[in-house]
Amino acid sequence: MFGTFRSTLVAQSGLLWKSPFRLSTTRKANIRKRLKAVDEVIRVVADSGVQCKALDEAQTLPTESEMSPRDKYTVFSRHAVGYRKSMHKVPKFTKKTIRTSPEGF
Amino acid sequence: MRTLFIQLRRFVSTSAAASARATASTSDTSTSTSFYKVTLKRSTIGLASTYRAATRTLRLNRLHQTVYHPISPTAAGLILKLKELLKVEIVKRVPTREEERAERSPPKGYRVVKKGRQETLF
Repeated sequence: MFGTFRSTLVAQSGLLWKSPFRLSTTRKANIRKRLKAVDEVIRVVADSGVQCKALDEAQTLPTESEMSPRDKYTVFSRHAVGYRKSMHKVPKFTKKTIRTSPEGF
Repeated sequence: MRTLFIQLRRFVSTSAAASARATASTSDTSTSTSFYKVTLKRSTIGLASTYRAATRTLRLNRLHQTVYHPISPTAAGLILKLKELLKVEIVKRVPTREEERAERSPPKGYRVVKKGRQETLF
């Protein structure tokens, strides 16, 4: 139970990566910061007066202030309990556009 | 062949930069066209190759590099594709190399913020 050869998860499997189930307050704040930065980019491009499909699509996205905390910090997952999992479980979630959920979820 | 391609691309990118500067100098009189000042703030490592290609099309080859593009739907589309990775501003004209360097370097000389112990004359 104790000592050098105790049976911990690390000793049994060798490599163990743990990620927290919930996002901390700081990580949530960083998510909001990133969302605001993206909003700023969309705003600047819209202010420049161009018209293109990419801008139309970007402007349909909800802004950071319009998003619910549920959409900011969690994402739809068909496997997760309650169909929601924490945003940080998505690979490369900081560089992706994940702002809306499927209809009804 | 590969080196030739790289050289060709380098030539294209330098000539494009030169043309951007040229249009900037001509726009001083008209002041109608503005430019996107685009800075790559986040890496494309781990993203799909299309994102890397889009940064290259915007002539962004390294992190924190800044480029200027005349405002156009093409540039806007590329910027919006990379909206998570970029910082964008609108500027009236492209600064010259000297102006860019002056912006980066600290001001010359010194300025007295606060005097230390001052001796009274009376």
